[in-house]
Amino acid sequence: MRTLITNVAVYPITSDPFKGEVLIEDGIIQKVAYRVKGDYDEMINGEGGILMPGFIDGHSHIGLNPDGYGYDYDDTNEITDPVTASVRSQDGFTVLDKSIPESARGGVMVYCVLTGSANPVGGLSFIAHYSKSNLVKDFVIKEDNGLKMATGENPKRCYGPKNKMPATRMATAAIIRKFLTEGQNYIQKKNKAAEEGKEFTETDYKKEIAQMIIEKKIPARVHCHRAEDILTALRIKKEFDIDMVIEHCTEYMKVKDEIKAAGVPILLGPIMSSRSKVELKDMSFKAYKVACEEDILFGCMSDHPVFPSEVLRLQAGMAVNYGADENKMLESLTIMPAKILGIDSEYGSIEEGKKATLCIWNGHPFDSRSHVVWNSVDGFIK
Amino acid sequence: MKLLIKNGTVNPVTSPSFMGDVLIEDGKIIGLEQNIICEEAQVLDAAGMNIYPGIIEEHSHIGIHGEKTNQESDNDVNEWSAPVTPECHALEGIKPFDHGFLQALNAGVTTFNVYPGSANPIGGIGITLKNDPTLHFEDKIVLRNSGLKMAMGENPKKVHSSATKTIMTRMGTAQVIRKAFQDAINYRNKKEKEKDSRMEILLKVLDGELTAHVHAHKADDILTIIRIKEEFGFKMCLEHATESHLIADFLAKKDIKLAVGPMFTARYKIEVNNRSLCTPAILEKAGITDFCLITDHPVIPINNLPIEASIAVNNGLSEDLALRSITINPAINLGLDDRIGSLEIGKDGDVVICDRELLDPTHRVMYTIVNGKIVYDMEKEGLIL
Repeated sequence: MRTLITNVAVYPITSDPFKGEVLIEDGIIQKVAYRVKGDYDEMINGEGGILMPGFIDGHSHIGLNPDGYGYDYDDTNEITDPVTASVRSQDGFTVLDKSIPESARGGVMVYCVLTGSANPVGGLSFIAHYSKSNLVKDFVIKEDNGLKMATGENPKRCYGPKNKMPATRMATAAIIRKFLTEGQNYIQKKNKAAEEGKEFTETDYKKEIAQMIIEKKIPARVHCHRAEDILTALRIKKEFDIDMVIEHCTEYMKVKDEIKAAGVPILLGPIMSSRSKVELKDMSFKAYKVACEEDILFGCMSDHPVFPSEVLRLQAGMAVNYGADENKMLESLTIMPAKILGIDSEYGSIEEGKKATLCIWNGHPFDSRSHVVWNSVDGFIK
Repeated sequence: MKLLIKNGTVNPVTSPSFMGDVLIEDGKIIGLEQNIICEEAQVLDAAGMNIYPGIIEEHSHIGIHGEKTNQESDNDVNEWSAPVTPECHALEGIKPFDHGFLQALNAGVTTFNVYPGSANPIGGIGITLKNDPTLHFEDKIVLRNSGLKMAMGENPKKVHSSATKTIMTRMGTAQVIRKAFQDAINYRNKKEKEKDSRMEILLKVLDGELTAHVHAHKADDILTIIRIKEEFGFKMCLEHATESHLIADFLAKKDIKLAVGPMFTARYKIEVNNRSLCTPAILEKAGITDFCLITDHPVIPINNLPIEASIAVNNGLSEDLALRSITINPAINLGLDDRIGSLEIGKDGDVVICDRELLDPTHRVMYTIVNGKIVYDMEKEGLIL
């Protein structure tokens, strides 16, 4: 099946926009050109709209707490133990969530679904692609792609009042360090068994995940709002030599030099929500402007349902309103989160050979009046 | 980069005062005499003013007990979920943009130490920071592990009799501490062991690499922790030491350090009933001259540190020791006296310049200088509210 998209302004993201055509075959972008030569089975007339890659929401809880279902269906946080490394967000994901088609309406086609931020070591995330299927497996494009961790207020608030650790930021850091130290001990034990030619009989789910982090197979995805929490995460990264993404990074501006020096990508947001807790008191859209100026790898994220994924594009638009670079903000919804999630070889731009995860807009997505008229999953949207 | 402070009354603390100049280059003091000439230096006219080494606070909770929000979310002082938490580090609880940093600058405090609180018999590790607002937080660290905070007396009892139900009495606190150190010794003696960070920290204390800084107000608590110190053989500094004047002659014979204060709090709990403004003077008479004074900020605000010293003078302490107790003595206590605590060639360019003498309670800090940089200028910035 060959589909030609024509009569559109193509925004490849990784190169300049131009009026042109895109040929898709079996879900893969075959040709991107001013005029595509050759046969096709179907033609999509964009009627002068804008063709963009589907947006990527690097940090979302979509499907874990479906909109309108309340507590009974909230599977975001396993608040029974401060270390729940082996919990997988995929096991809490429900296709019932009506936010899923809504997000697609806002151009968000790919999302990384993370566990919540109640636990210093929360659980494994996965990357989903929008689908109309009723089966979770049809959403999954990458399993177990990162381990959620959390610092700051939330772990303190969830455990302190129960007289359990952590009651302070000090203990949150200590719990994460202990988790990683146990992982190191676990690897040593395994190696020792291998050296002695013995079978390893003490397999431990949580420590297996710690091993994945220590061996840099997956990054730690650390929830940090405040400057001190960001610095704590960076120290831990350095001490244990692990890969890391800083999530939220609300006080990014205060520690921009340290973030740049550490070379850590950040998923910035949500900024378009209320300053509902102390750790959000210095939240500002200016953070996006500074991130653009500093030219670091960052993504604009929703933390859905904290801020609805459907209107993620307007958060990026507001950043432009505060002086952020428009092209850079488009990148922060596409190629940059793709790089952060390690899926940029397939997603995040309109390039030959990449997956055809595409949307046609009837106007610029940063304009609230615009909407998606066609996407590669639903076709034309009525 | 050079800074020349000219024509002030220089009080180096460890040597006699003189009228003259201080020259700082690349953060270190390189000249201390009259009529220094240095054309390329930035000149600071200190005529009629008094020049001292930067003030040092040995015991504070700046930033770890976040101010101005007054919410639990900003309070990371006490990990009261367990009685023994050596793995907790003050570093991870400090808010680098807390108001306390500014308040300290206003008072001429150039270096301060931050400890976890006193809820736990073994609370966590402290950290010493240079108060230079132009530095990144990580670069402010002077001493990453400045000691293991421990606590005796009312606080552990009060917290753990309800929160964890592990301690009901002072006896319980003592046995929790003994058990923790015994566990560490057992860990050391284990042949095949997995790395345990908590035990490693306690071993550092037993090996003398890390000093135990023990919150103790009452004389009986002081005596108990001295017994434990002598059983296990670690280095110790008593924090608060409120009743130390009652056993001053006994303490003078012991190899322990003292950090006294805060001196003007209300007698709001039984263990501070005998709090006295005469404590420093009585310690001096007993021959103890290496103690430092502390504010326990925010228990009393850090600006009160020089005032504490002057009130101690008012109550019989010598002026010399009063100055030492907020400069060189805390530096010695923290093991940093090779870098800070007095004006000497080769030491850090940490200087406070006042319009009157520091021990005059009506003095005003005109300049605070850290690592040779003017980081607070009263004329320009006004008083910090």
